[in-house]
Amino acid sequence: MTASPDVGTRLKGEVSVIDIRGEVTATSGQPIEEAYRGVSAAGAQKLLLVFSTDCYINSGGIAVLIGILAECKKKGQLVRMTGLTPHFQKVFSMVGLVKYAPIDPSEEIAIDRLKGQA
Amino acid sequence: MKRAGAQERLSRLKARYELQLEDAARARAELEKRIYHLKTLYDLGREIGSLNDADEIIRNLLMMVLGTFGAERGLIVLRDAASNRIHAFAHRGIDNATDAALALAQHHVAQPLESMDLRICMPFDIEPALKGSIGLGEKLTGEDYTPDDSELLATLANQAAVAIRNARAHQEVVRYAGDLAESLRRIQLLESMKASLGKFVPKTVKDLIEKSPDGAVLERREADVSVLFADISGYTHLSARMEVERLNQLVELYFAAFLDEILRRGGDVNETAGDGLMVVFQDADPRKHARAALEAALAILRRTRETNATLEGYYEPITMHIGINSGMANVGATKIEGAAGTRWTYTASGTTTNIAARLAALAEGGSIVVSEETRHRLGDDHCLEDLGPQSLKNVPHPVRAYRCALPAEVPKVTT
Repeated sequence: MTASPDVGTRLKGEVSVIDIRGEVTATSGQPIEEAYRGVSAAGAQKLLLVFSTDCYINSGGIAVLIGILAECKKKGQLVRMTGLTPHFQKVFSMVGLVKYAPIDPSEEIAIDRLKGQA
Repeated sequence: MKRAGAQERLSRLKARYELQLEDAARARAELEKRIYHLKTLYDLGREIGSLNDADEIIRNLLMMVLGTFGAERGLIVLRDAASNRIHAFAHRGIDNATDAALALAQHHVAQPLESMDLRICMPFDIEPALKGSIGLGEKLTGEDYTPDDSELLATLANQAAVAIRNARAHQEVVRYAGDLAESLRRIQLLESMKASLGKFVPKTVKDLIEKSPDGAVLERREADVSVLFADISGYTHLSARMEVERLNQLVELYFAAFLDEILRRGGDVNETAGDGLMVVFQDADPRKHARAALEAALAILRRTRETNATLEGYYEPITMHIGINSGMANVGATKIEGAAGTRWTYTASGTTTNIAARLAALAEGGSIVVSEETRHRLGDDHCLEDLGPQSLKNVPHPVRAYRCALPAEVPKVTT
């Protein structure tokens, strides 16, 4: 059993930012799903997932993120990700997550790109 | 010419170098993929190793495989091997999950299940009676599943199968422990009931039930016994002059003292009725139970005198009259059915008992009257006065009776 990740949400203009810190696994993924449902219910159309550099994400955690990104796709929400270490960037690319949510080098760039997206 | 040749060699070298770079990049990507898969195996063991619930294990396994292969849809089914009945299932991203689970439960091969758009399926064995299957939808990358993927999926599934087996074994142990605790609680309850009921049940009955809990030995049978009846002399006169509660206290005081003497000599108090006691003595040696009955009768008289002395000034002294007879009696459980319910009693009945009761009526206060049969068994150890043949109510023939000659002070009897 792993500890739940520390998850927070904030607004950057029209972009709903979800900050994720700690271990992301199948058993600890619920706070992220709840945060997503919260911003989604508030009408978020543009989302940014910001991972802290100490974030650890295992396969179960990736499945949690796949579920959230699939939901975003269904709802027509735009999502981007940032803060991932090179290792997790490769893993996300390997499993195809980047097809649903591109990875940006920084939060500012990601927000600029989201603002530019229709 | 030379320059053109050098240019061509350089181009070839560059192309070869680029090919090698591509190979190296592919090898590196493959290596990273393998490391990720190894890490998944490690994480799966860590996540499910400590779980004791099969449902939780398959939910975790499903998430791990979805994340490993990058699939949005997946399903795991556990089924009964003989009936194919679904034991448990977990799903994610599947719209018609029950139909898909039923279809996967019927699909026992490592082949895609096209009707449910499951691109890779992997059956796995948990126990001979319990089988599992995993099915996954398309990868997010759009790539096909490879033989390496099948191998990894089988490895992950087998790891989960071990965890499920362990979880089921743990649940079995927990269930056994629960059953054991419940059995222990029942035993404690029965012991407590036994202790409480023991106050109301003759010792012989307790012993018989312990020897044969199915109650077979409680069936009626002919047995050689000595029956003792002890009554309070002038009880009717006493009850007319005393309050009921005070009279009950008095009887309780005396009878409590008698009970110790009777039990010490192996007698069973079968009935108590207001002013009297019926006690049955049994032994493999017919002389021994007759002697025990007389010794108990003498002890009752002695305890009466002692208690009279103790209660002097508080209660009027009482006297007891006792009758003893020995012989065959019908011994066992008797069912008494009434409108309000059924009661079972364990007693000795028949002529032997009837004569003992009549001899008690014949005895005067402070005396013991025994039958000829009992006297015969007692031998010459006791001084008995021959009362001659006596006509007793409901007894067809006269019975020769003997009275125990009591000394002024009844000697203490030891067993």
